Amino acid sequence: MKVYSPETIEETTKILGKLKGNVHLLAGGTDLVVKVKEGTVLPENLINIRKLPLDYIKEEGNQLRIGALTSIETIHRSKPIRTYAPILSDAAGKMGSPQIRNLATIGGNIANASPAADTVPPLFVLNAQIVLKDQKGSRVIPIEKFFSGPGENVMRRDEILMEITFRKCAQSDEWFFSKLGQRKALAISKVSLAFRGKVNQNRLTDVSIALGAVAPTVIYAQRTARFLESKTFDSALIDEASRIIQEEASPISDIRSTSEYRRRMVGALLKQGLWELKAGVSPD
Amino acid sequence: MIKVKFKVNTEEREIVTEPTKTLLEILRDDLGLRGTKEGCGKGECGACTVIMDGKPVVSCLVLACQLAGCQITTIEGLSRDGKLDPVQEAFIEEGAVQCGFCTPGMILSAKALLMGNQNPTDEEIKEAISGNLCRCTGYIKIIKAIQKAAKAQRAALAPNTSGGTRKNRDQ
Repeated sequence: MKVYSPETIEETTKILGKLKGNVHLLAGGTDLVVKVKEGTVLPENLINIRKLPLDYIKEEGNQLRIGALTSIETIHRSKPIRTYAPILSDAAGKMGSPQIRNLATIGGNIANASPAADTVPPLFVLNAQIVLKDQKGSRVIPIEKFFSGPGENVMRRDEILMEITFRKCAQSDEWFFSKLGQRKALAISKVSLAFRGKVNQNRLTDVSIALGAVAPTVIYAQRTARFLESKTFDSALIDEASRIIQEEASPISDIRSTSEYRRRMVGALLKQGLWELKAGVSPD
Repeated sequence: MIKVKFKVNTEEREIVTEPTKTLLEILRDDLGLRGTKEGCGKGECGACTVIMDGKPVVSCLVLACQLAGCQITTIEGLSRDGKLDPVQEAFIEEGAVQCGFCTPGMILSAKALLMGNQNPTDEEIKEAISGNLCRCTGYIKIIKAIQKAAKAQRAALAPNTSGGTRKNRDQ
């Protein structure tokens, strides 16, 4: 295995453009190092990108820009993210452990392309854009077009993930992120659900829902979201929505859970979140 | 092989090593600092926790090629002039140690918390040690010990007010 430790982005894309054989980018290492130790990934070339200047959170007008090497703990604690994208801060705080969150990066969580990645459902409902770069230039991909399967994404082998951008949320946005794992710390999600929407005169509007760990990639639950906007926000609507969302999920059985349990829990997480939302919204 | 310079406790170190060797292996095998323990080797148990640039991390997942210029604090670096750190003292006094295997990592997670939060709640302590598994004591004494260390630290920082001031940070 050959290891490179470039210090600039130009140097990194140049190395990526030249290398033959398989190449892995090493950021926080919390997924990759484990896979290398287990022998499930055998890199011929390892590019350590930890020193690249991609550790930042910037506010630009109504946009937030997060550098790919920003740690999950930094995102969890960031004031601008808590203010303008609280769902992302909340999800970041539910990942791994302090020791893992200090190493793990948001770029790594996305590029690793796990269907259970906890920052991804929030980034779906934030309509995030992913900025990729190669030697020749940059391209921007909406997050829902970034994943092509479990552990697979659309990045070309000579590209690096630079940053994630999205519009700041409005104060009037309601949201919740629910994660079901074996325990609170260090548990990979069996099911996760991100909800964003508004409540106006007992109607839900602008609803967006994303589901983690119940399909080959994170998915939008669009049918459920449209249904929730169609009628009065009451218990009948919640019951029916939690039935529809189970049809939108296509979970598998694996070591963490069975498909049947996952499917039911998608409905349960939505029901619980919507009831809490309804209880917390003051009547008009 | 690469040459890497970094600081461990108070000493500058320069070692020649494989770039993919873990920080845990370097500490134990190259530097003889065996207070840092290997449990799972996959970041799940926290036995190998060290403080890297002020933050707790699992040393089993940090590679040599990522260490240049870093400051690492291990359990060996906590005592000063033969005097134990208040966290270490508190663990002994509260009986927060049984087999001792998780203790170095647990103490470093606690230390990292107390460096940024002088007056943690029990919930904040539980969060700070959520990545450290103990299979003997059941955490109660560990949490008590960390509260005791926090109190000792507050007292040391504010010698004129006994026990320091306790403010409700939720206000």
